Amino acid sequence: MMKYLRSTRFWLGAFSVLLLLSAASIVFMHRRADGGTAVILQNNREIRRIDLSAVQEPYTLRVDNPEGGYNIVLVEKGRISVTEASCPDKICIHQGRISDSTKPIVCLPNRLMILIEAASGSAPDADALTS
Amino acid sequence: METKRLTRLALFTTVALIIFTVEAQIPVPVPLPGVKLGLANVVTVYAAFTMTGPDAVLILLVRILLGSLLTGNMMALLYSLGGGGLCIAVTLALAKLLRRDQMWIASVAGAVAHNVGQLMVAAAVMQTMAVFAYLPALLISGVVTGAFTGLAAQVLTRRLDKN
Repeated sequence: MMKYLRSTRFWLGAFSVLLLLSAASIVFMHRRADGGTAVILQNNREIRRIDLSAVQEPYTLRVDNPEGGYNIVLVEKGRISVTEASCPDKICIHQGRISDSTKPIVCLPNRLMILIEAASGSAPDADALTS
Repeated sequence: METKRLTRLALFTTVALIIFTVEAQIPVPVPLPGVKLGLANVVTVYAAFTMTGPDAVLILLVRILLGSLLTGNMMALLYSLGGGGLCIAVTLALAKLLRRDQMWIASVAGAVAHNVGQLMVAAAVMQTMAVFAYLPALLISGVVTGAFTGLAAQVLTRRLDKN
């Protein structure tokens, strides 16, 4: 045992295995985190919940705002975006597709928010730790 | 405590503290908490191989305490103590076994232990096991930065031995 602990080759092997295992589990976690659940909120109330990993064919859905406006939401496998909006600034469209929980899509004029819930067991937001 | 030992301890603590403070000013390109170069580890590894165990622990402990005071981050003190404690234990154990040209091995093992210790403190503080999702990334970072600081410590030892 002591002999092994003294040999450079043993440690090189141990560190290589450690690196490989770590890299593999990072890839694994990323794949699992792919496509959490998208939640569409209107006026802070949840109106729809879509499992993005279960989406086969892309489809669009229309979200109407009781006070007028509307948004067209494009749902694809693992990601979601807004393609059309009645408001003049189109900020939600310019936010593009989102696929993780870091940044929700927000349309202030129509009081619409689309966010993706982090898959359980994945890393919490970086801010939880950064102090 | 005789004067020579006192001076040596003070000198190396100061060097470690300076490295630590300067490094704290350098932004890390990786957006993960806990990832850093850990240059002050050079001093820890050097001390573990060339001084007695208690002396190496003293240098690390004083550096951590003064370091968090200087950078003004007392929350980081907890994480540093958890990480540093585990790191010095592993480094010292390996320093007993390995030759001086194998310092980098002790350094890598110590860096990995440091990151594991930090995560255990984080899990305890935040009451969640979810922080261990960071483990693979922190392990990789520990191996890379540990090898770097370990080799730096080897070069340092060789230079200091000449004098």
